[in-house]
Amino acid sequence: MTYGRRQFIQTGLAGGLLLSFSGWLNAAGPRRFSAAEREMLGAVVNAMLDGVLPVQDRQRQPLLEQTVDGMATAVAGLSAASQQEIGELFGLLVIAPARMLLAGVGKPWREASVAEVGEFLQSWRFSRLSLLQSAYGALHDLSYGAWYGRPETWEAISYPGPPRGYF
Amino acid sequence: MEDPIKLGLAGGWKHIDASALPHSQTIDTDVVIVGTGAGGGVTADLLSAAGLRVVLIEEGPLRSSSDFNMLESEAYPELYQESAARKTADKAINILQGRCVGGSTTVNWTSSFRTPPEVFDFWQRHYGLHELSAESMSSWFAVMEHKLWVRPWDTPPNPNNALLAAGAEKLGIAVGHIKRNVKGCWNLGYCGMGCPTNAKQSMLLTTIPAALNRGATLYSRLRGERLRFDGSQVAALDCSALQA
Repeated sequence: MTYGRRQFIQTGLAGGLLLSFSGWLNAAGPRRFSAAEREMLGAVVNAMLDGVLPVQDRQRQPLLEQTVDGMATAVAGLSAASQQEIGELFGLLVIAPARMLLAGVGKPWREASVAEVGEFLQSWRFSRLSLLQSAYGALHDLSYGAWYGRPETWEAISYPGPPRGYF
Repeated sequence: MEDPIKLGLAGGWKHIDASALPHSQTIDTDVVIVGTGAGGGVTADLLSAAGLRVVLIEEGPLRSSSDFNMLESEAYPELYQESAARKTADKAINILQGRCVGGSTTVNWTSSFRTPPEVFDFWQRHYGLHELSAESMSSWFAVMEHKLWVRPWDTPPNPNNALLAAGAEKLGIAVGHIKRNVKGCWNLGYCGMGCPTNAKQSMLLTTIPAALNRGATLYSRLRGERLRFDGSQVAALDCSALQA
């Protein structure tokens, strides 16, 4: 099974298979995340930032949405080449067979638990395949960047923000 | 706080924000310099001083101390290549490369050291740059160190760095203090978001103003795309204006 999975990834990437799924940069310039991508990213952020997100679902949900919005802004600032790579990654993760095979997440993203998504993230983080490690890195940086880009998150880490009033 | 860039622009520096150009244009010059970082800035300074007509091309925006508000969420997308997320080919290491007038010198942390001998060795071996060595470049470095106020930084290290130094000493690794290109640094710790106090002696505040004072023209938000050749001579550079 391990061999089969690896072979799938290599074949997929070498064959440029992923591009045909994503269709990310068909239109000129950055595009918005699709509903399926937002759902997948919401699940990723929900697991990645589990420790800092409020436990109550009513408070948690809007923060997930805001963080995914921040990720969209960050992706729009990347080069066309990087946006294409990110698009391939996201385009792959929203397809059920890829989600199951590559991420090992059996349920649709909106139904997957924090523990299940967390396990997927850790398996990519410590994967022997540098491709999956770098994909984890992208999801990590986008999640944390979007989270700590908002000044409301600074109090929890005792960051007072930049000095004011001298300039 | 005085903003020397705003003052220079008010005083008649030739700066064109290409994102605001209404139509294409063709201009004639002696020298076009692509990029306004450490290489481009110094080149513009030297060649404008030699009396040549110089045009500088920069794909990032022109920003200065009054814009530098020390917020990562604004400074990274505004001042860096790929919002500060540029990576090595294997994506293992982030490359914090500037994309603004002054290039990386506008956003770096002011560590200033001469090109190490092993780098010269590499350049000589792999690129045939035999005339470049620590010795042959020594006087050039000395000139730039003088111009950019490169001095030892004697402020005591913070606990993080002090611990790093203690650990290295324990392991028998030589520890030294870096030199920095700052003048009257407030030690705020926000170098990476552009210096709000104009202490950092970047290209933005040194070589580029020197060239602009001599009549050089600066284009920001303009990307050099393609060299046109006339035989073996470069005849033109095609550029494209970027969005604001």
